[in-house]
Amino acid sequence: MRGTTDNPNSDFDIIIASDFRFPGGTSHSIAEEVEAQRVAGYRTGLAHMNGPLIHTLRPFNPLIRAQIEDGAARLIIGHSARARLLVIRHPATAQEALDQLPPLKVEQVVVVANAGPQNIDGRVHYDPVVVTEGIRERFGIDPIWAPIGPLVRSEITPAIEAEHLLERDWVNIIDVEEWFTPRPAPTGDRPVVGRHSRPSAQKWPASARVLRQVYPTDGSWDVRILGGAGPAEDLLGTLPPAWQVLPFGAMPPKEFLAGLDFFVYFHDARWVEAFGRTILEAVASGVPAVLPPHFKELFGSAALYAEPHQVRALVNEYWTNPDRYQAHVAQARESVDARFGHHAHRARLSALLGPATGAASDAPPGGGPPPAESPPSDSPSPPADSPKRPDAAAPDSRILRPSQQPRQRPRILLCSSNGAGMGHLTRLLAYARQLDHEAEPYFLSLSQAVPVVAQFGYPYEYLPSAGALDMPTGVWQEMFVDRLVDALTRIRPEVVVFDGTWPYHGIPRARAARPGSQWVWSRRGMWRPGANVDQLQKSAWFDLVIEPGDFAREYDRGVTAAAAATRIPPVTLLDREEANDRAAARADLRLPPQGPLALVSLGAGNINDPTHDIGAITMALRNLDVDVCVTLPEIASSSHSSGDVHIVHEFPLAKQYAAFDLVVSASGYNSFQELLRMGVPSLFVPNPQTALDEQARRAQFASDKGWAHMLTEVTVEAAEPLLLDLLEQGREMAAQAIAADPGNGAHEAARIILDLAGARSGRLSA
Amino acid sequence: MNSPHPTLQRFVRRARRLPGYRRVRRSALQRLRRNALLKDLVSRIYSGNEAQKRWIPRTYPPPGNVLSGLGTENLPVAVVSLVSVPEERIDAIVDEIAALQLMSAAFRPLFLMDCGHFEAVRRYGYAAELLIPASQWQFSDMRWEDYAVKRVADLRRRYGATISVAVSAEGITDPIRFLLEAGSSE
Repeated sequence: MRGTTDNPNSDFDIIIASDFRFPGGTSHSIAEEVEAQRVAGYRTGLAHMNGPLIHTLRPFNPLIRAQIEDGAARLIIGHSARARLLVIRHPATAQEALDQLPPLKVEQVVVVANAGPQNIDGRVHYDPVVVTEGIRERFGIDPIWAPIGPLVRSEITPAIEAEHLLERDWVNIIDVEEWFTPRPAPTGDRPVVGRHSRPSAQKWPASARVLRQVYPTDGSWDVRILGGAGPAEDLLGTLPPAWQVLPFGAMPPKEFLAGLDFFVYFHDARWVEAFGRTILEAVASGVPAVLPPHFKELFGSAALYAEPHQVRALVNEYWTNPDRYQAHVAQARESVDARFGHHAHRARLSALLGPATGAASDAPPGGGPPPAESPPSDSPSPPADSPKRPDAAAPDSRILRPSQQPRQRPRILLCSSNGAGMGHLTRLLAYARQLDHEAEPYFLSLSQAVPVVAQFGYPYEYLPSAGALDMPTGVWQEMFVDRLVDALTRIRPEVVVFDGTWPYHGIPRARAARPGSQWVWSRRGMWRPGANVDQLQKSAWFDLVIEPGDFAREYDRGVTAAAAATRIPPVTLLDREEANDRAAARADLRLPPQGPLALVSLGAGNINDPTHDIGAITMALRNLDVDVCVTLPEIASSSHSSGDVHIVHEFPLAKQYAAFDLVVSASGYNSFQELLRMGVPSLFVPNPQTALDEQARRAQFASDKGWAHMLTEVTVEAAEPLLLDLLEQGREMAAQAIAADPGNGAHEAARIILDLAGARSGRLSA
Repeated sequence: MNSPHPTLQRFVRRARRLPGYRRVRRSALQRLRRNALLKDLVSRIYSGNEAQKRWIPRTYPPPGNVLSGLGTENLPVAVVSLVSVPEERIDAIVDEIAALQLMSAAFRPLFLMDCGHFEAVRRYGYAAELLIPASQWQFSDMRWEDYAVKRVADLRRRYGATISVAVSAEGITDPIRFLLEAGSSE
């Protein structure tokens, strides 16, 4: 579902995964199980899935929320967790929403089938085989199926192997002590008969004849209904005057049940009532329950059974015989406690798990995730691959404070769009580093990666993109103009450098509102042929267009290739002499000092799936006995363990390229120029999904020159010989690229920008 | 909200008994739910109460990825300020907010931060705005306080925020919880 963080306090005995928004029996049963587990000392985690059966926005069931806030269970959100047992309730939810779960490591999985695979209208809610396969794929475990009652058992048995089916039903449980109400034998002038259910048509008899048989309309019985009687009204034409009907939730069920002599529940005969939580509540409350015979296998001697035409006689028989009535109440209580009491749940857990390991109620109260406590002193150090976070708030001596010092140097506002990667931002950062001693770079970016500039000591501001806000473009443009004008007013830059392929419409308006700055468009080439042509006209919005060079420029067939621009050599953030050597790079990345290592940086994918590019490359490298490093985003997209793959999260990674014997990379602008300028043996796998950047031609150029290899259709078989060749000859190939390197274009860009700033200052002072 | 007229209720119940009703309803609903224009129109007409009927639902800021179901565009927007919260506490506090949002389905947060720890909110698909930290204010012709007030006012107006809370390093307190949940129609 979402990204996660590790939390050392996320070990549970049992994790229950379900859709906790269900308003009725499923959620009530989960809440009961959580309570039983708390009392027994089991530590319970709850993992929510937005399942397919609830279509409108809903909060959690209040009973479940109360269990979380009272500390009986912890909501697992935003972090991974471990448990000895995972109980998944509602197979349809598991089938549709298993991918929403946070990373869970579990030893056993039980799927509680609280409904059959098909609904009353024949709609298939889930397929037990599909659910089993999904769980096996996700957790590497075959689940144990636990039907909630005999009817569901009969429905799922054909699809489940016997050894994966729990012998006893996973019946709903109830706190009998809590629900039981002592009741004398009936003393009124007529039986008080009632039912409690939601007013769904399927929960009522489908014929008026049956309805009158079980809920007399002649006033001979006092009929009380909690939950509405609309379906009965439809059948009868009007509500009988002798009936008392309350809407659902009008009074607590326990209080309602305490006022009845008999609980009579009949539903549409075509419908399979898998369990019937309201029946369980009735029998637990001690009121004799009269049910259709098919419930006998589930409720046994806890209830009375009759066909509709037998109901009146059965009720009268018990109502007129107080001793018999009392005897039934007593034995029904024993029976319901034995079958459905909390201890029944504890017994089935104990059979699966053994005794509880934690003390009861050891979770702190309060909703949501465990508190972010400091790790215990013996907890492991952060892993070597923990991402390094720039400390944006840390004071940096390199940042001048104009409020305290007179402004000595021109201020350059470096403005980037969000883009797919970090290309725009990285190019601007390259310019900033070359401007460093002669200007004050200041960043305004639409990219959430902008905090990386703080590593270099630069101040920054963030302006959310329309995409990040789900904001209509027209609305966002207004916001962009307002924010840009605000920034220009405060920063008063001599030069604004915009790096992006799509200058925003607000730029001319902002320029008009705050004139006085020179505007530069840093516009890389290699656009797809014929694409984005109209954007070229926006050159007129700028005082100067700089085109950062590209090693593959001669293969550029895009519209910018012939457009007017000031062309500079390829731009990279670092120069070769700034990079670490192999030993230092491996030490910095906490990688093994010896042995062949390859870096794979190919975007999202599953490292264990050879049908994904990243999986195929990983397998090919393993075949060559080369250890694999992947960049963090790739791992984060996969739910599988990283296993023996090293994870790298470093910016700028170019500083550490010497750690690797080869790199497998997409051929975006930055990676391509960096890898060639740094002399790294490279296999380029162009990303065909980019909107504008023609990565394939870049990769083709490097391949044609013999500087690197390229692969457009990645398979293990295709990758392996190319990777082997790179291991053997990659250094010589890369050396040819180094020989062709015209130097870092960032130096020239900085000179041009400073010239503009100087010219502008001169004009202002003239 | 008032219940529908009894005659309408009876009609609907009878319709539900017709053969094939569920299949037809499912098919129709799936088409309607995919229609963004209709969804927007219905949201405007059938807001939860009289006050909300004057409210034009906004698709922004995004509700995040923990909630599911129709109606997220009607959730009130809450500006959740994490200004001055130490960076190492932000993950845990955002987790708390996400948990509260998941359980209550009562609001959609827009985070206001003064550090660039955007990963914390990006995990949940939330939006965030950055406030320049007071410690890094470098503009002599404007006070940081004035900038901060202006920016918060802008956020409230631009995103239609009706709730604002400031969370400290200690996390969510009961008063903050109450404020965030007050917009729930449940």
